[in-house]
Amino acid sequence: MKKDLLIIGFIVLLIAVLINGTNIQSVDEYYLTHADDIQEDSETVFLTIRCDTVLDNIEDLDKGVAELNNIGDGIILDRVEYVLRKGDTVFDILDRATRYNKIQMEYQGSKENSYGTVYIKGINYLYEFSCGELSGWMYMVNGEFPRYGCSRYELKDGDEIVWVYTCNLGKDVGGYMAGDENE
Amino acid sequence: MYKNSKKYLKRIFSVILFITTAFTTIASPFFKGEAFSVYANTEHTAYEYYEKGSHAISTENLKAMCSDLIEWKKSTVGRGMGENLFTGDYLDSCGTTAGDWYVIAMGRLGISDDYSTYLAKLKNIIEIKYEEDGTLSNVKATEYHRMTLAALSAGGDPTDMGTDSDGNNIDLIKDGVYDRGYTADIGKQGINGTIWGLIAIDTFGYEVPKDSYYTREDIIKKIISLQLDTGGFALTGNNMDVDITAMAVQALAVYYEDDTVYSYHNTKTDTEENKTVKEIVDLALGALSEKQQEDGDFVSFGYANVESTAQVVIALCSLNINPLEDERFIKNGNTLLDGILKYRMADGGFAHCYGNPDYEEVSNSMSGEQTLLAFCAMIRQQEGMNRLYDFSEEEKSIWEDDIKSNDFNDKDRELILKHKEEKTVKYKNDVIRLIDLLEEYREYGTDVLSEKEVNDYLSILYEMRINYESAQSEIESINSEVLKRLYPFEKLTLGDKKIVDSLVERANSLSEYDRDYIAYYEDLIRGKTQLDNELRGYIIAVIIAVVVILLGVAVVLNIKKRRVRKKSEEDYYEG
Repeated sequence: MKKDLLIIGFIVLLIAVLINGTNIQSVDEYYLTHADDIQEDSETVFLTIRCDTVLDNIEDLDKGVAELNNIGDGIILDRVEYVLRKGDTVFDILDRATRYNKIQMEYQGSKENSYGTVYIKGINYLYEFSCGELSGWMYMVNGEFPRYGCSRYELKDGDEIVWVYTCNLGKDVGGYMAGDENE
Repeated sequence: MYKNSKKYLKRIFSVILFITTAFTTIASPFFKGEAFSVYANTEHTAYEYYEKGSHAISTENLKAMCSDLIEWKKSTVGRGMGENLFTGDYLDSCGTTAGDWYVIAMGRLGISDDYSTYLAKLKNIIEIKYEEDGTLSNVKATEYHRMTLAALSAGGDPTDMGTDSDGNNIDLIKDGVYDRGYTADIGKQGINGTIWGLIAIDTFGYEVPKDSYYTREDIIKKIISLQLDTGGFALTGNNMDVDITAMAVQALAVYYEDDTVYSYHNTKTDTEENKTVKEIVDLALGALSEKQQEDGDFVSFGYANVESTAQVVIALCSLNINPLEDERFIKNGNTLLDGILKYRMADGGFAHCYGNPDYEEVSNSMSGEQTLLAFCAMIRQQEGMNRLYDFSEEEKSIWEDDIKSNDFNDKDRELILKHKEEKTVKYKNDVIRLIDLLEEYREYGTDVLSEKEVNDYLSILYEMRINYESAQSEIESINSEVLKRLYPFEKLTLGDKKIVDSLVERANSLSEYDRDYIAYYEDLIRGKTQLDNELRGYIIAVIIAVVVILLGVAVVLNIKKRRVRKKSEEDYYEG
């Protein structure tokens, strides 16, 4: 009688374990597979990728790109929150986000080298000069256009990154570099 | 006899050079105390070489600054001064802006380095691009022009850069300049493409065939018809840009003495014009002069910077105007060189901006390369040599270094014999260089190897090429599969386990060197761990379930057994 109760108790325990999930991981495994989970105390940044300027300049869009029909409403990636890993630069977040979301991205230069910085040539098949001779990718952090390469901009908690496609050297996205003194 | 005396002269020259350099280095602290300490911000002292506002600088001092700059550049990629720059991972930037310009600047200075490897690699890159896309770039004609300059600087021939997939000769001048129009307008990326097209075609006075898409005159007219009413040129619209104006002058300088009157429609001012290049260039120089700042430097996109100033120096040198003496380019007593040296850092490199809160004050690769070109242009002018982008033959060379022999040597032999079986991309650049070299031997003969050796080594090298190509396509295939299959992690299911496992296995079977080229190996391991954990979870769950069932059955049986016993006991008592 007592033995039965003991066994039933054990069964209940095992069922509880089953319901609770049986994915038992080592600490290392946990950190590896949960590197991008947002916890209460994780530092995060936000990323948006936009190309809505193309909609206003659709007549300049390269025919090859236009055929891909990939512009849509001009939002390539709507604001997403990402965990900030130690030492992450604007490039690292873009690289991770495009991979995770299967967005095409091409860059020039290697992260590790010291030739200067990584240059973003194209995102979502939209390249520099794809929409006129003054078009290309630029980035903003917290509303400002930094003057140096994205692989050198180290991020901090809460930073808001926006990648924007300009069709007019930044003028159409509010990032024109001060302008010629003539103007 | 002649050869020997030349060598002897070289030696004397290098001794003299050594003494001058040593003298400048040793003596400079004394000078600094007096006339040379004009600048307060001594942290980036440039004035050991040049007295502020002076109208002259010696060739030796310009060379010393070139040496410092190159030493800085080498240090950024972990090379010592005696080591070559154009080898190893520097070749990853071959065929890009970051790589080509140093080859152009150092080649024009005549500084010895591993040009043959760079050239072989450049040809290889161009051939691959032609094979894949049939062109270098649909938009940027300047890719052709920069590579033309890089090829020439490395001792190559831009009209013979390998063969395309149809077996035709790849000619950068044809495809990038006079027949560019068949691919895309030469000015598709803006006036930049047209300007550099003209520079490229005049590097060696290339002839334009009669049936070409553009004539030389077309290209010249395309440039001059975009001159602004102020005399400058714009990257776009109607705002003069200093760099573009200076580059337009560099391109047009070749025609400065030519008195041809061009009749054209200026699309910026919407007027009909009849002008000589001299008139056009003089207007442009006037516009540049007006833009020079008090410090001697120039502003582009709202920021005073070193590159714009360097381009103006190159423009003046290409017209054989002394950039330190011309009154139009001295402001507030400051010359263009003052404008450049303002940006010199203590490490010998140059910063993009100085005293500007928006920019870090650190030496920058692009600033360095353009400054190096400007110094080179000045040295060439002082030495009475061809202008910077004129590659026609000349008697002397600036740096009379002993050019290291690029002949086949024991190290090459060892490399081939030791690594011939290995399937790796590690020796790719060496294989490319050696094939290029030995094919040249096969065609033109050599004293270094016998004909049989040349053929034997070549056939091994072709095998090695197949090996690295297969290693490379395996790397590329793994990388593209990772991108396709692995993301997003949340959507990975046990159904993907087979694929992920096989990708990990493929990555692990690469050589250690090649595995570094797997772009996201860490992610791959993460995906595998996630799936392994999931599978383990299932197995544990199944085991627990089985145990639960077994225990349950045992309990039920036990209870039944007890009942039966109880019943039989009751029967017994009742009975």
